[in-house]
Amino acid sequence: MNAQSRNILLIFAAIAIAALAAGCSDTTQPSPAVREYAQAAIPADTRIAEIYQRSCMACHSRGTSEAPLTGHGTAWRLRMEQGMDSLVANVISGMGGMPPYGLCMDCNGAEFEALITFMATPARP
Amino acid sequence: MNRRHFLQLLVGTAIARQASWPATSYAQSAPDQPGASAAQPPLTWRNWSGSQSATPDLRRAPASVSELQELLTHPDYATAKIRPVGSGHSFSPLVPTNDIMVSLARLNGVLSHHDALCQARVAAGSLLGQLGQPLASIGQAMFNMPDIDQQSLGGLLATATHGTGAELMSLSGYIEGLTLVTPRGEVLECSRSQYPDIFQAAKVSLGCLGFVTDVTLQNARPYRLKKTTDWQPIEDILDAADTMAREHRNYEFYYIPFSGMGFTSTHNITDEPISSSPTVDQNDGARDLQKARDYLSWSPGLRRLILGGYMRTLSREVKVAPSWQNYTSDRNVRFNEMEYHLPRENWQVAFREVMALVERQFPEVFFPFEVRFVKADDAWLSPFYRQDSVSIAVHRFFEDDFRPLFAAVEPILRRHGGRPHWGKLNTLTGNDFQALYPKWQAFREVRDALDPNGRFLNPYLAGLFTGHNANG
Repeated sequence: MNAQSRNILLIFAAIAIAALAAGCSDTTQPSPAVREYAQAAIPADTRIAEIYQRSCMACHSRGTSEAPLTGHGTAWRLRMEQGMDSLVANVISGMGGMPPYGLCMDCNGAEFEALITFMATPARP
Repeated sequence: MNRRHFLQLLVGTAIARQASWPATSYAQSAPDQPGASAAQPPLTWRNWSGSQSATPDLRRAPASVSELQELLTHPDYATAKIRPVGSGHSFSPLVPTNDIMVSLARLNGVLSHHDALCQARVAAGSLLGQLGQPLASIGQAMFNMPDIDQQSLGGLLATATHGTGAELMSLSGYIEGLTLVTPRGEVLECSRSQYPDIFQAAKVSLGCLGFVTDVTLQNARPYRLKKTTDWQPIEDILDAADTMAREHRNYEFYYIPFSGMGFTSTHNITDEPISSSPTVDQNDGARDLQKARDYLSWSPGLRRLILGGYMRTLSREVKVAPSWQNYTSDRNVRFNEMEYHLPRENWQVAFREVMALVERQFPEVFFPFEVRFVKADDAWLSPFYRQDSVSIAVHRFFEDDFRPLFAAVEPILRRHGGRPHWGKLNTLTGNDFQALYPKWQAFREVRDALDPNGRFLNPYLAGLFTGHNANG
């Protein structure tokens, strides 16, 4: 294969990658039912509910940021596969738009785990 | 295929044509991630960018002012250092302490309001993004907002955080009263007529006078804003910037390095119906610029051709919305930042020097540079103290080493009379600040009287105010 043919192949490869990226973006969008659930869901535990409302709800209930919606099983399953310790570490360090400690500066590890578990639990159909 | 995918295609094609050139990576090792043991106390605290960290012995979020007073007067903590923490969005080392870190997050919401004066008393632990709706419900809106809304009100006021607008002050400029819980646990109601010196010091306090637990804000009646974004050659933007800043309520611009382009953003009050045109997601845009840097920095000409060509295809964006929904956007791509506020007459020369330096010496830079306009105020430690200013902000991706760029740019911004943003990275000492702030000594005297034992001084602040670092 000469250099010109190789470059043509590479250009087609790049076009294919770009086209693939363009066509693969909407597979994890939450359903209207999940969106409705996320707007209203509150943890049963009073202490965890208080933290959730002041620290997590603004981003995880609205769907206006990259934060996964509460109850959006598909989005959370990908994250839960990293393991709870990894997710707690992400909360403590902050991640993407999420500030450190997920805005709960007084939370301990167990409370972070409870919050993640609540948000990752899929909304009931 | 939308325009962003068009850019990806252009970059991808350029890569393909230079397949033998390796991609350049400027990323440093990511900051240490807490491992499994991090879930056990004590936990390490980091700021949003990861540039600051601490492992406090105690973290507390009092549910009331009386709980806060108990903490401050508890004999077990009499010698401990105490630092307030907001959302962790400051890049400078204002927060870190290994002793006690206190969040006011549980003191939040609109506490009361005065309709005739259009003022509202707001708890300092409120997140900025959670204030728009409650204020609207009492017929009020903030005069201005910055471009993110994740900060706590207390944190952003303590650092003179600002938006843009040649006739609009930083948010601290709109404080009409405040409640200060001193390091001894006393509660002081401060205003221009009550404890006036403490009031002027506490409006921008760096969190080192005690805890500002609530503020009374001068607000406006609810208003609707029309936001317009336009992409233009950077030279055209620079030539028109001062005029644009005078003609629009809010005006700012971004310069995209190695593209020859930038974009302007204006906000003006309108009664047009709510609407929104398609927009370029700024987080996606930053990631695309990073890719262009990684793959094209070997050829500034090709990088400029592709980026500039792409940006010239972008259409005007227009969004009409209530003010509190139209200032801010999500920032999901983390970065470190330095920002200096320059006298209005100096900014053009300084910014052109910065641009030339970056394009000459820093091909690794891809984050946009931001320029905003801010009106003078009278808070003693406000960087806008009696000085109409233009703010020049320099960013580096959080995994990149910010030091070489910031070290090269900072002398330019200082030489043109700049004062640094308190929450952003700089290398100034107490002596430097004393030369920049006419009320520096007056602030120190107020601070020493309120906190004679330096409980609210971490090493950084002790260095600024006492000339030596204190433990903690």
